[in-house]
Formats: sequence, C-alpha cells, structure tokens
Amino acid sequence: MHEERLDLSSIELEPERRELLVAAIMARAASGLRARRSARGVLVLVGMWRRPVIAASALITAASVAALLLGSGTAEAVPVATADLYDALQLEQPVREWLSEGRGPTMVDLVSAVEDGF
Amino acid sequence: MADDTDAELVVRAREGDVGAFEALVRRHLRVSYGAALAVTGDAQDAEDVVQEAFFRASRRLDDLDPPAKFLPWLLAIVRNHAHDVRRRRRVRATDELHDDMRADGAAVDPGRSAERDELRRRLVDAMATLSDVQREVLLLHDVEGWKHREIAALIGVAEGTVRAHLFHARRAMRASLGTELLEG
Repeated sequence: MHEERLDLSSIELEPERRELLVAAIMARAASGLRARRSARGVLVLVGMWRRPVIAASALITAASVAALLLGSGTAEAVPVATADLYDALQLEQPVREWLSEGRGPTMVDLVSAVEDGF
Repeated sequence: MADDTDAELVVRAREGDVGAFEALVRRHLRVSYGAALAVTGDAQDAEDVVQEAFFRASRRLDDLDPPAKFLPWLLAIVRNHAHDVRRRRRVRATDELHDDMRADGAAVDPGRSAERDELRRRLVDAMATLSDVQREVLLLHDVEGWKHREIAALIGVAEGTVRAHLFHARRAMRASLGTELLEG
C-alpha cells in the first residue's frame, strides 16, 4: 500500500482565522460551562446537608407517629379497640401492643420494629 | 493542560472548567474543520459548522460515555450538522445572494491567494467524494499525524481496516488531483 502522506495543508485554517474561531466558540460555550460550575456548587452544598436533613426527617416522623397514636388513645369518641378491629385494620403486633397499652412507641420500639421487618 | 487526556479534560469541563473545554477545542479544531469543510465545501459554512458543533458538545457533555470517546463523538456532531448545512444550501442553491457569494470568493476570504484558493477548492471537491470514515481517517492520519493503531482504537475498528480506509482515500484523492499536488 502507498504510505506517502498527502499534503492537505491548504485546507487548514490560517492562524488568525483559527484564533477567531476559538474565541467565537468559547464566547458561546463559556456561559453554559460556568453554569455547570454553579450547579455543581449547589449539589455539593445539598450533599453536605443531606445526612442531617435525613436524620431530622426521621426524628420528625417518629414524633408524628407517636403523637398520632397517643392522640387516638386518649380520644373519647374512639370506640374500644378489639382484636377484630385490629385484624380488620391489619395492624402489626407491635402497634397492637402500643394501642392496648395506651402509649406511643418509644425510639427503642421503633428501632426494634424496623429491625424485625415491620 | 496539553498533556491531559481527552477523558481528563472532559471530566473537568463537565465540572465547569472553561480552560479544559478550550483545550479540547484547540486540540480538535483542525480535524473538525477539515471534516466540516470536506462536507460543506465552503470555508465559511465549515467555520459555522465547527462553531455550532463545539457549542452543542459543550451543552451535551453529560451524554458522552465514556469521556475518552470525545473525538469520535464530536466528529459525529460535526458530520451531522455539516450534512444538514449542505442539504439546506442545496435547497437555497438558486438564492441570488448565495450565488453572489460563491462567485466572489474574495468577499468570503479576501486575504487568500488565488492559487491557494484553487488548490483548496480542488482538495475539498476530492475529499467530498470520500466516505465519512475514509475522510476522517485521512484527516486524522495525514493532517493530525495520528498512528493507525490510535485511529483504530478511536473509531473502534481493526488496525488493518484503518490502513484499508487510508489506502482507498489516498488513491481516490490522487485519482482526482494527481500526485504532484498532494505529496507532503
């Protein structure tokens, strides 16, 4: 096979045209690239706050469940819970115990329930 | 920055490093321009195509996988846009303004010698007869100085296939232009 390199230099851009073209490309692309840097900064910030936010959400959830269960236990209008009602509501065993004892779950109860696959 | 791989530059450009993207532009401008010029046949159209292709690439960097494949990915953008431009130009081929621009080469590029313009026109016409892959292999090897194995790895074919593409591309170019115009 013929290995002689072809001279294609005449189709190349002249240096000044080349620099103008680079400048034109970068003028259009730069704002989008800078926006990427800003977006990345926001993501890093969110990443730093993610774990504390998740922990706070878990605490709020636990507190809300407890408040709801305690509230329902003390309400006068709520009929006395029976085993049939628990069955009809398909309540899990830990929840039945909390209701029958008239209390909300403690953090230990919640952790135990989660570990037991509740 | 000159020693960084394409993959490293792409990763940094994705993070918003403007300098890294400019390094990619400078590194691949010549072959992109050659590919665009060979399809459009017009210097100004080729510059517009290259500018648009790099701009689109800057917006779509997250679509590129793996980052090391920046050049074939970029050349695909260049090729597609260049074919679009050529199609549109054919549609407006009877446009009076367009005819004036083509007839008056000096209006497009006043500083260039007539001899160089003529050689370029003949080269571009000859390259237009090549397939996309032949043209890109020719540009990468004879303009950019890449080795056969580097081109093979880049476009995902065997080294022998690259040699065959190069052989057929050169033969077609010589048939169109004659050897005296082409030996480097």
